[in-house]
Amino acid sequence: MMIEKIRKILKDHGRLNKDPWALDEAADLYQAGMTSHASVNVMLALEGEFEIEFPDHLLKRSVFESMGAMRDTIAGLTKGS
Amino acid sequence: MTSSATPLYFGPPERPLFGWLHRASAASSLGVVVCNPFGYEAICSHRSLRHFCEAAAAAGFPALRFDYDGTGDSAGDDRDPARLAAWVKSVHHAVDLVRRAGEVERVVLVGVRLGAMVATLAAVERDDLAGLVAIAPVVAGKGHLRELRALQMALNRPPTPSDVVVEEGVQEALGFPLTADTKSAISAVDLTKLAARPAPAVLLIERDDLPASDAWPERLTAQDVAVDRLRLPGYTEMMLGAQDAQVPEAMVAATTDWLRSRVASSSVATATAAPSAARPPATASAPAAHARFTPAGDPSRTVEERAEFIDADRRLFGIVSTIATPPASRKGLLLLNAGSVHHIGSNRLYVTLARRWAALGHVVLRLDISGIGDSRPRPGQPENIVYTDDASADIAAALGFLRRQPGVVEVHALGLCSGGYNAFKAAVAGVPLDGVVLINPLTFFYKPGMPLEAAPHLVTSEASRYARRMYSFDAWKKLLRGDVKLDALARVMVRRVGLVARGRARALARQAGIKIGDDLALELQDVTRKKIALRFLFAAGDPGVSLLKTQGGATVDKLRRQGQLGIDVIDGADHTFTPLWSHPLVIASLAAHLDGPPLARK
Repeated sequence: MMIEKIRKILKDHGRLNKDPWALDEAADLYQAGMTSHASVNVMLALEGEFEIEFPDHLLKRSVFESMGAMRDTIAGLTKGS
Repeated sequence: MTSSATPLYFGPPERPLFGWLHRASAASSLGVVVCNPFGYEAICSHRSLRHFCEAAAAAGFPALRFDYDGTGDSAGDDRDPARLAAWVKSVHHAVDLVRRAGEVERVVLVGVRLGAMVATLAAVERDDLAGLVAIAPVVAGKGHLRELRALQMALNRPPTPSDVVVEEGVQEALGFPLTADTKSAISAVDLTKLAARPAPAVLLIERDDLPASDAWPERLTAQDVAVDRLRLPGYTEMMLGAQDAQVPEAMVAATTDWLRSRVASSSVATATAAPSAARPPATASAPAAHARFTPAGDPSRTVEERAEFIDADRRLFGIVSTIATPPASRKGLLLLNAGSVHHIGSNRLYVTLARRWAALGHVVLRLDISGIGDSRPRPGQPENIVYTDDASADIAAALGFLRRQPGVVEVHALGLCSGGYNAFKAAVAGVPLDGVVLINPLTFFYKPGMPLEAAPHLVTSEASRYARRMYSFDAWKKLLRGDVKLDALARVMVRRVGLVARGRARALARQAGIKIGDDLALELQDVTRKKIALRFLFAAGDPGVSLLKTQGGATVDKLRRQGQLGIDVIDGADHTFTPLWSHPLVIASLAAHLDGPPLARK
């Protein structure tokens, strides 16, 4: 379910050169065309969708590198909330 | 741009501000001041903001776009103290100028991103504004700084070399510094907490790709502001990078429509010219086409800058930097656009270089070639075309202009990426000059319509990436698992082999006296034979390094040994030298080559 929402956000904001539904959860999104600017838009959209705020120590490229990495990070941030 | 746009300096004589006033053809009571976003976004949106002003002027409203204190072509830099306050003060000077020079009674501020915040902060200090247009506004400074941090970390730059000095307390924002003082000032601003209203009417144009917040418009409405809200496409596309950025036509049209229908015809009363207590004292001088820039505490380094059209058609625009009493003999240095980045250069490096060289006695022209930045395209040509055969003619005109400046006996052209390429091609085409510096060129043989993804530099860099990966255990695991696209790998490696093979075939043909097209070695020989000094500056990972070796072959080493060609490499930087620590290294490399007096061989 969470991955579906992430895919939808990537479709709207990721500016990928591939359909997010055709990508593996571990696929490198930067290799799939996501720019630095697009990754920040993805971050902002994820924050809105999941009502979270990525703390400074998680503002790093690896967190937004793949759908799986995003899911794990969001799961960690929403745990217990 | 319209022919009625005038470049000018205004504001305090000791801290001149630079801007363009787009005059309307008929008298109007309403004028517009456009407030830039910060840093990299200001570069990306430069062309778009010109379109905003042209549209406003065409609709009958004189419009000013300008650079805040310490930014663009204005005096100072981002490391000066009290930046946010200085930017707000700059807006006041801009409003006063439009009222005076545009001969209007009322002014509307149009601010983009951080510019919307700066415009709002200025607006609440005055009571004579008719309206405010806030485009994708930064409402909370703290959140914006966080976005800039995220963006910076997403850049995936190589690790900072251990031997470079990193400034303490400075946040790096895509090539521009935010000092601790600036961060603290921006961080403290929340537009929803402002006590005063900015203007009687506000048009809020929100980006359509992210959820909107109601907090600020609700606050404005409670302050008796007539708020119009629109969600329009165009923000992301406006900030794609200078070359790919698209003018947000829907936003331009909506702004002009709002000015016409909501503000110009409005009977909403605003105060007249009476200044409020918070406004700066009227220290401004009359607008001028030139200005003096004196670094703090160092009058000996005072530089004069002039905004000039250098051709009879008033198409080619540039900023000339010089000193009041030039030496008997000096160099003329021409800085050429890096891609579509206007004449301030990537990370505003061209402004730093120009003022530095001018202070040493040289005369420097930072030029926009036709259709880029503030130079109009040639008749019938579209704007924003980077690689064009016409560039050589522009460069010839610019070098002719430099040679006519007092004391100039030697001229050099330099530029990053396409700027270096265009300078080199001008030399190949026979434009007379004494030296060329190419900084991170991406190709040596651009073909019209050549898609960037097929450019030779990508073949070279991708091949290098695959070659590096051949020694990686993880990469082999991926290959065996079937996770690697073999067709892509094969395609890249075949093209790489093709490039190398073509290079060797050319070398053989050259030895046999046969000329083959697109022969870089031949062009290098030709240029150095004309006594033109060649210099290359590369970021270590940039593709130009290997491209030069692949296409230039043994000629490169031969010319190096003969002292006719020099190569400098900076480790750990990127294509546009975004890291702040790399800027002094770029300047040092260029300084070593160009600081000295001319060789006086004329």
